[in-house]
Amino acid sequence: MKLIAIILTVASLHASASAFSQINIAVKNSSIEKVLKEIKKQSSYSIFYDAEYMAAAKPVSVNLNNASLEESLKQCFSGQPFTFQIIANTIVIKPIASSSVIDVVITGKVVDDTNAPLPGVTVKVKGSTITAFTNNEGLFSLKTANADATLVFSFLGYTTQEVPLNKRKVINVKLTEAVHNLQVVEIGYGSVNRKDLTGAVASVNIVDFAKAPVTSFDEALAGRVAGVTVAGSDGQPGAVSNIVIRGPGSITQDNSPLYVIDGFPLEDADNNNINPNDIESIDILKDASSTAIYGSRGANGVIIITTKKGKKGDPVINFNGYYGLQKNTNRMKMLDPYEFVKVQLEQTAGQTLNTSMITYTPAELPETDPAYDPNGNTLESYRNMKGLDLQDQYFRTAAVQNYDLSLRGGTDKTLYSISGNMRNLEGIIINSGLKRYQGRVTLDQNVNAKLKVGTNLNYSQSQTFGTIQIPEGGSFNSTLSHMYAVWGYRPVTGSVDLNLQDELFDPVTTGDDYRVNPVISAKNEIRKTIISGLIANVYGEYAFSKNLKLRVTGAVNNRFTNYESFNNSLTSSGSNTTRRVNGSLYNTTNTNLLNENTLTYKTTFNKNHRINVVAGYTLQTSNWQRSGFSASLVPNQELGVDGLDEAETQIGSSGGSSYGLASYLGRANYYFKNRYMFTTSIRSDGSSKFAPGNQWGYFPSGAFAWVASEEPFIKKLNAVSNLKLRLSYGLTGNNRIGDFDYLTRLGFINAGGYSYNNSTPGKGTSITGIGNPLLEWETTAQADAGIDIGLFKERIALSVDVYEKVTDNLLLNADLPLTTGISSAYKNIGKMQNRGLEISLNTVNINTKDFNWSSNFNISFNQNEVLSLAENQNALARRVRFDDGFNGVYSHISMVGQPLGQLFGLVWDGLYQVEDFEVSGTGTYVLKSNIPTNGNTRAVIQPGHVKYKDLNDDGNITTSDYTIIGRGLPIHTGGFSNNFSYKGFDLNVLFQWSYGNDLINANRLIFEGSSRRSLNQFATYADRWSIENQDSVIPVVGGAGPNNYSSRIVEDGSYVRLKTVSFGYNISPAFAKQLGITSLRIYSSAQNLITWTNYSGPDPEVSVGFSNLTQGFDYAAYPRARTITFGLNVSL
Amino acid sequence: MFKISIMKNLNLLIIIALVLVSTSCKKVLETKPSDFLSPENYYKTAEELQFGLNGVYDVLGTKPLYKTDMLYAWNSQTDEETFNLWLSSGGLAYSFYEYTASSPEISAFWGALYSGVSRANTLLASIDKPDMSEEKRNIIKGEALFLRGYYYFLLASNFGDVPLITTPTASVTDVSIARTPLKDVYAQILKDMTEAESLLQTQTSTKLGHSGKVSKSTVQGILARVCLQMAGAPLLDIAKYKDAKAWAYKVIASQEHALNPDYSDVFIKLAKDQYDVKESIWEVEFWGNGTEITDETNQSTGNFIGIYCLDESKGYSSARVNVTKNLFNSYEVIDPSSTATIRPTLDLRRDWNCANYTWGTATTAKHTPVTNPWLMNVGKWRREYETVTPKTKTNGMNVTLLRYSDVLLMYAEAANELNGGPTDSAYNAVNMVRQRAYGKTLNGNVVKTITLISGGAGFTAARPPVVTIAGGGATEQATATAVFSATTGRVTAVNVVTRGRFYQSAPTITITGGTTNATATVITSSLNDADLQPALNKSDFFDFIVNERSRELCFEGQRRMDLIRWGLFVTKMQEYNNYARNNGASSTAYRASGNITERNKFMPIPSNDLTLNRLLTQNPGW
Repeated sequence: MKLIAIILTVASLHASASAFSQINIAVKNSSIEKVLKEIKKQSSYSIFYDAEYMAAAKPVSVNLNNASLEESLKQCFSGQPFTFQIIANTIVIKPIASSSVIDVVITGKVVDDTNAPLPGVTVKVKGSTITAFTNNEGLFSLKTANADATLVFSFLGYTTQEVPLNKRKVINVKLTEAVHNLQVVEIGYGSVNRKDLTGAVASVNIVDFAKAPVTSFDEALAGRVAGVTVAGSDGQPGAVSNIVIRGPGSITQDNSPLYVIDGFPLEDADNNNINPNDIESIDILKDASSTAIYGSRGANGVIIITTKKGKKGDPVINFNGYYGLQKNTNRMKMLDPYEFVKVQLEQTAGQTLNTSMITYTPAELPETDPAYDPNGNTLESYRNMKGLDLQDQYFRTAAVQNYDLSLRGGTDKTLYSISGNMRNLEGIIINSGLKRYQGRVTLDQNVNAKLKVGTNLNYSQSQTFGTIQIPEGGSFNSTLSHMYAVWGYRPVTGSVDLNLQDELFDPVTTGDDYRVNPVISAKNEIRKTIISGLIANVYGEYAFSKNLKLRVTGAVNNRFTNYESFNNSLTSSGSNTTRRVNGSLYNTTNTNLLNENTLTYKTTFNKNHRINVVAGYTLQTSNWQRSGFSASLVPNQELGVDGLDEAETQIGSSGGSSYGLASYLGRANYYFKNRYMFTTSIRSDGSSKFAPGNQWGYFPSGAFAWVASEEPFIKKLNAVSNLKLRLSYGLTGNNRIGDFDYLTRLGFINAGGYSYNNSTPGKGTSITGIGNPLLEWETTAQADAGIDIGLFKERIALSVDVYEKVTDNLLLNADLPLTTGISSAYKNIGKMQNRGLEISLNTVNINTKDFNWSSNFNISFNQNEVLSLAENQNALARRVRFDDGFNGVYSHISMVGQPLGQLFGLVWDGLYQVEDFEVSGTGTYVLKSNIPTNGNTRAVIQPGHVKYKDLNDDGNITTSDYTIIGRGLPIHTGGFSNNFSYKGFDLNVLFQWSYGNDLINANRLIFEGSSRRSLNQFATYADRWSIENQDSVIPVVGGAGPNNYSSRIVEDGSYVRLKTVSFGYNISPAFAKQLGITSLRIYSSAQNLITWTNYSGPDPEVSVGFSNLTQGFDYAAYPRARTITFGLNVSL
Repeated sequence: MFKISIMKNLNLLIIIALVLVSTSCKKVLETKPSDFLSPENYYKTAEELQFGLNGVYDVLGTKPLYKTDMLYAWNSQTDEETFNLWLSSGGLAYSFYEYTASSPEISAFWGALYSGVSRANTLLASIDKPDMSEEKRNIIKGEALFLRGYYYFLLASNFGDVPLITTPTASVTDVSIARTPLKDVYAQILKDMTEAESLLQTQTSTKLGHSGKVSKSTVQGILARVCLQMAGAPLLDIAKYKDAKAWAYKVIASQEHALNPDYSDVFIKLAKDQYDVKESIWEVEFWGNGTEITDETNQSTGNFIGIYCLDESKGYSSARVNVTKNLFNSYEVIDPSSTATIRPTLDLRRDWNCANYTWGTATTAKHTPVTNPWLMNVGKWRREYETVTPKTKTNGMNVTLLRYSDVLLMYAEAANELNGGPTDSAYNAVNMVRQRAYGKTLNGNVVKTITLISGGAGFTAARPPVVTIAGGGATEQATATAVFSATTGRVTAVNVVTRGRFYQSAPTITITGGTTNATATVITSSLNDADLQPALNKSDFFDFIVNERSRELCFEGQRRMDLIRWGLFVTKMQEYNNYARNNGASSTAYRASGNITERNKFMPIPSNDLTLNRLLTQNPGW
């Protein structure tokens, strides 16, 4: 204290002395005392010190040339056991330890993998409360007294890094992303950081996604991303899900998005040929500003899939294998033998020749009847009898096995990756399933500082086999379906001599009931599709400078499809007398070639301006060739498909087509102060699908984003870590029509010929399509407004988007008056609108050392409206061909002013009750004259028959009483995913739902009141109406009325599904090290675990109508399996 | 060194790539279809014209026309033929006149006819393109013109006023075309067919040797039919009777045609895939049994319209239509006062047309007699005569569109109308048809009746009566059986089993076996049995024609149109409805006739076209 008092006194005296003195001293091994004196002299500063310090001093060697005072002193005191302090104009010498808390300023910069600065990173001194955040340039600064402290760098989505200071004061850190794809987003012809996005682009959480034990990625996509609706048609192995982004954009044409797989745009990607485990990222472009870069193919959204490449570092071998079991969870309960026989007896009640009684209850016949058998069965004999239920034999618990093996690694110059997959999926229906063998090799090589080349090769072969339950596009007889026979097969025959299980045909089936023993038929039918696909990408990247890069890509996508079918004499088709043993064999080759050339220019100038410009030119051609033949009357059925060539009748076919697309594209991103962001893009596509003159289309877009959280006034709000507003508008196109629809086609076809003079028919030509040279692109204008909000350091991240999509000039396969000689032609006509709201919420609910819980909730609302159709048309009515008896009535209608594909039919009005009738003298019920019919003649209608609302009040039910009876499209869909982790355990739980869509349960038309004889019915039919059971809403036997669709069989198709559950345990890194491996996870995953729904059919996620116009139709679909697997993922 | 060269070469490569790119852009967009032809580049040779013509013919054999619907659905529900099963409303209900403007079958029918028109239009637009012999060109042109006319004839007679299109469809956007008044549509039909007739002068039936192509007689015969239709309702252009008579006369005078002496052989030949160019002037060709490369099979005659049989070696037939009792009864019987279940007739057509047996449901066909006419299947087309096996659900039997007997009856009808009463030629024409029906050329005079004079005595089971018919100059003797009473031992009746052939005079009959012979007399038939009662007035002759056409041409698709043009459709169908209700028919048999009202004179214009062609209007009542 005394000392300081003195110093202060002295200091005030020398206040005028200059701190900017220039010191010039050059000494070697001089005493510090001597040097200090010289400094004192040159600087006019006073120096205070104790002599004891000087005793311990080390000799000083300095060479100061116009040095500052401080610098001079630093040099002198460097390495001395004491230090100095300048207090005013006085230099005080003091011991180093004498100051207890002297904060050291630590500074540094945090960057990401691409060396871009990372703002908002939390930097914390471990074990203290000292915390700082990085600024926009990624810079941080904090003070700590402990030069040996450890800094903890953490940022949501990035791996937390701990860096010991080791007395360093400048710490630069590169943070790697924990989940890589959440931050770098592929946007087509380039990628950006998520924070730089201006459009609506969703990324799939690939870590969660990879936990679903599925064959192809689309099966795991449902519920993951807002705005993306995924609905499977049914559960057939290998069936491709129907993915729709932001509502259907097209009326008659395909609505699936454009797939861009490792840069290769494909309109008809074969999802089964991509191993989900190979996928590095899935980014989904939704708004027009994002998709416009894909121009004429962007209107239905774009799914960008990037596969894994090599990573710098030691080679990592990863093995992932699982084995699981699948089961049909929704068997239908059928009538038991007693109830079945009861129905049969009711069907023939009162008939003179009571065939049902003769067959099933001969003991109940009058004794005079020749078929009377006193020892035969009565109805009571069937009580508690065990009946045959073919569901027992037709379904099975099926195994699924999947193995992935990969080797990935790299050096500074070379990155490589080799991976393979083998999958064997048994279907839950006997003799059905899928097998896949797949391999991928990627290589990226830096040739020199400027040139980089690489390749990505994928080969896969997938085989799907087994009877197709509902063949798409096939003209269909309901009785041909296996499920029809499985459900409908008689539980009892009434005869002891007949073992139904051994018979291909039940002898009671005659006429147009083609019911066949499905178990025998399924075991004998061959339906095999083998798809072999080769995708080869090669690229070269040349950096002209740091800013300008050229990338040239050449790619081939080849797909060979081999389809085999064979029906031996133990199948439904092969036992048919016309064709007998028959089969077919078709080969299709698809070849897609792609060349892309892009120039990318990136620069930052005046610190605040960043620009990223891409310009490119691409060419793509596609062609397919198909050949094959079908054969009938095959003599040697044991040879199978290979013996088809021996057949008497062989019908050969061949065909092919091609198209080409040439495009110019450009996109510019401009960022000002990371706060205001502008994107504009344009693509010009020339397509051979249009007539010369109409080939080129232009698709511009623009987007603006304001990162409000970068504004100082928001930055002050600590709670807000991110606030971004986005606006975009753009035009995209759709070109999904045939390759030559602008040309008139003259067909030269077998079936169009004629036989003269009993000769073999000559072929004939006829116009099969009238070309429309005026065809041009269908254009979708989409406006999108979005907001991204991040709170509490991104612990809560909310994204909300609203959009309006208007598709005009629709490429519609428009109905034509038949006077033209054809039924339809492509026209640019019609208009449709989709409006929607998407909300996606990510939260980190609990984040502690051991326990973590994070959630993703997303919900999408889409409202579809048909704005106009073809000339003078205000409605498009369509029927699903599922049964000949229903070919005369429509099941769906799409009306102007209404959503697409509404369900269409009669309004069900319960059943006729006794009070609707007058009882005649003979005791028969006669329908009161003021009560409308149900389409049958009045005399036929009895109590317990189905009743409909007579909308036009004409007393009769006809198709004029049809109205809209349900919605085909859901009101909202979404998903709720939760991740829990506790120490080494992790749990992912995904719920997925669809709300508001209705389904036509056509199964009930056949299995809840069909008049077909000896056809078993759903167990619900036991509760049908009767005088004793007048509250029932199920019509009596024979009371279902004429064939009509009605609200009786329309059901709410809403559901919530526990879609995926995955539970795993990761062994500790230390233990792994002991085992000599890097990591090991043991897990169990389940798919389609539980479904909550009011739908009475097997599964609410179903649509066997196969078009936008006929949604939500269920008949005899392949049931969806519940899968539970156990697996192991190990890295070496 | 190496690096430098890469750099240099790379720049070069980039330049090359850019050059390649700009040139290949054009190439990428220049694709040519490889899987179909373009009409502009086609029809350049005679052969290509023929392929085009095959396409025009092809429409005849499609489902909405003669493969199925024409005979099975559109024309099977009249007073001569009816369904035997109640078809549910969703299925074939349209066949019961339960169609509406939006029924898919109605638009399919309309569409098929217009596709025929459109194919002909496309061909005719290019007819002068190839360098070829004019003679061959004229024949192709003649056939195409005729077929276009025929399709328009079916359109006009079924739908009334229709859009008249005679050029290929050029645009898919400009498709609204108004209906042309019926008389103008007919004028075009006459124009096309008349021109065809002059172009096909050399294409005679004899020269063709088969009936699958349009011959000169085909055109003339169908022109007669068209003119009769025009002369009748709704056009009532009675001047056309003259033309009808003239066209029919041309066929008769051509000496190309004659009646097959055996009525049943006309249809047996069809089953055997043989031609009878004399009688069966024009047929839609069908081929195979559905197992071949191209399905050119027929589903109606033989199968749907056949004798019930599930045995494919005999010939599968689901036999969905039956004859009506009033058709069965329209054939004159020998003894109208007879109370027999089936009264004998000399008209051979009855028991051929009305199948008095069935093959049944057994896997091996079993001949089972049928005695109730309502339960008789249509027997006209019998698959047991087919030669192509297996006889599956479809067959190669041709469908006859014009027979010589039809021409004769048309001639007679037109002559009667023109002359205010039947002419001798009219009589002759009708009698030719009838004499053939009675087998006059086939069998000559036959045993008509055997009348028992005395029953004799002493006939027992051990001593049954033996009937012998002899003499009379027959080439084949008739046979008969005698029925006797076990209690009295006397013969009570003699039944003719076969009627013998070519009796010059009445034969003698002896009935031996008992203690005393029974005696009987035989009466043989004569020409008059078949012949039409002479000296009928116009109206009676017309009434006779009305029934005779049905007896001769039943199920061949003529009845509905005949009734419509005669203005009798609604009344005759109502008459039939009453008859069926009161004469033991099932409700299925009168379901269709109960639906007939004035509006059924035309079918509805399909709603598909009504919405898409804003100039189109609907027929009254629909």
